Amino acid sequence: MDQTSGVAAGLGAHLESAYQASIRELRQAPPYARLVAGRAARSEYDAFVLEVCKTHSLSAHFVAFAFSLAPPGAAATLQHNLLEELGADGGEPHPRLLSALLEGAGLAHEAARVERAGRLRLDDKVLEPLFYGSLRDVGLAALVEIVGFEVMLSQVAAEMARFLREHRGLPEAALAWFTHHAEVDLEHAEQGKRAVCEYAEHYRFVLADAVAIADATLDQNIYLARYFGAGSAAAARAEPA
Amino acid sequence: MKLDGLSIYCLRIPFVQAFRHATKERHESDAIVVEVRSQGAVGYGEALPRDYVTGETEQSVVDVFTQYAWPRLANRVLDAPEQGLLEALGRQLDELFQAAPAPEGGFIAHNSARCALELALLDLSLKLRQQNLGELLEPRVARVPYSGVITSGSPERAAALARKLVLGGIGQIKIKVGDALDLERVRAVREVVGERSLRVDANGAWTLEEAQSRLATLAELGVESCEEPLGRERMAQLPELTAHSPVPIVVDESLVTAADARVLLERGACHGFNLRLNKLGGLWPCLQLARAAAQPGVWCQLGSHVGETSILAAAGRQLALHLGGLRFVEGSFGSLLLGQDIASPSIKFGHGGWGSALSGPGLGASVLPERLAALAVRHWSSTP
Repeated sequence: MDQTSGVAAGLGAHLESAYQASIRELRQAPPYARLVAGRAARSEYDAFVLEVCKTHSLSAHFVAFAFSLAPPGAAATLQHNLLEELGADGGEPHPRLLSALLEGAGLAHEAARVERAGRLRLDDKVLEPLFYGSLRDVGLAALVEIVGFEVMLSQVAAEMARFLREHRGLPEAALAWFTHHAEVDLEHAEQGKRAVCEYAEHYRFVLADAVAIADATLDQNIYLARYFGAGSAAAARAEPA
Repeated sequence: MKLDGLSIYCLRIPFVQAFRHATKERHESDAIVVEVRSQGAVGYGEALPRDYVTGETEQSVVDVFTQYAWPRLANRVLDAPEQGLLEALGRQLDELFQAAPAPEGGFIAHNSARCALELALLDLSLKLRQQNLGELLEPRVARVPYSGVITSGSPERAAALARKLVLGGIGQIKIKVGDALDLERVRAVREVVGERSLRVDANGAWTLEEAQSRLATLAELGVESCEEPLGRERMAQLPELTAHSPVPIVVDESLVTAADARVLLERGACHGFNLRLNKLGGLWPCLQLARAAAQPGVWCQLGSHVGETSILAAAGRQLALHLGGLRFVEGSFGSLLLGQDIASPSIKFGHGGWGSALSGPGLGASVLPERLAALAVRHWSSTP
């Protein structure tokens, strides 16, 4: 029997469960819960805004990388994501939405630092030796992370916009990046998950290997790690809410 | 060479995931970075004090620098000759630290502090000459294969980690043992990794009887060596264990000083030495011990401390390439373990565990001062 048969179904179910677990953990993590409840200091809201901007400032690069490896069944979804990031679908380019977020939060002076952080992250990815032995494996890890953010934002971005509006006083124009992602409906996120499965199927992954790469990618909770600093998942697990 | 200033950064760098062994669970790196400055150049060294290894603590390292070493270094011209730089620095540091006051408690040696200062001075001297450490420690091999490490935890978790290491092409794997799940963990890993090289590290958790019993079973599972089965306090029993062990014995925490090495070699107490830069005081002491081990046929491997940043990783890489023929090489985990490294790019191994030569002046790590400052929880700085 072909070992890859059933990889899409198995990986799809595994990803659904892993993404939801990570989203639950984000929502329950004390630093995030404080932001939602309005119990955080202004500096914590500002730090959150900065980390969101650092995380997503070069998102188009990562989506473009995943698109370059996409098999036919996943290409349309990733192409759509890439065009959206670049504003080539008629919408605003996402980097501009992030600039508006910084400006609206009175953090425009941090733009250079945000850009440098994004640049360094990209440099690190390009310069450091690769743990995985093939582009196929690297691509799956990238795709799992990209789609993971799409899934999370489709469920949580509206809540993020709300707490920044209500507890940090950001104007609507500054929140466009969040409201845009909140409008990405669940079906759109489902398409992303299907793209990961198509990828795994097309490139003949054995389910156990695809699951191992997905788990290694999501192990540290990418949402907490990117928005609240590396190791914050471990800290959140130890800290009482 | 006269120093213009010295700074100490006590860091806290969260790990991507917790690291467990028989005696500790760690969630973050507590590395100390020592920065020395001269003529506009900056050199970096690193210490990871472990009270259960050398008896040093973060405070003892800070104290020995601020209260003892810096007042003696501030206005002194260090001998840093073109030829024999490492040996010259080594002898000056031996002299300096041998006379340093010993803190109270189970103190053994100021080796972490010595290591940090040696690496910092070396990095600085090499940068002033625009030389890479590889020009001093000429590589005997082009690349070295690093081992993966599987920490204590459930056999299921160990199997999942083993699968990740297999995907990373890692050919040599060390498993932490020393609890009730030892054998199940090794069996679970063996099932996933097939014929790949497995070894264990007990971190001194066993009694002689436990070691004898476990090693018999571990030999059947194809375990290639066992690190620190008994612990430093039971060193006297090592010759008996080693003489009859079906698995070669490697000493780690039992090997901290040159005197330890002499006793271990005289008594035939081990098959291998685990060299760790931070534990043994830096490059010069490691080279001395590697030489001492060669004659009686004791093999050497290069170990690392959990949480090493790219500074120790770079020095370890250069040592491993220079010595060649090391049985196993550990370290260079970089951003695979650290949430953020202080250097860009992070010094880490790639697919297959391979790590090759490093370029650029100094040790070969490009430290980012802004990351150092951002990750420091304590900072001390002085100028003469």
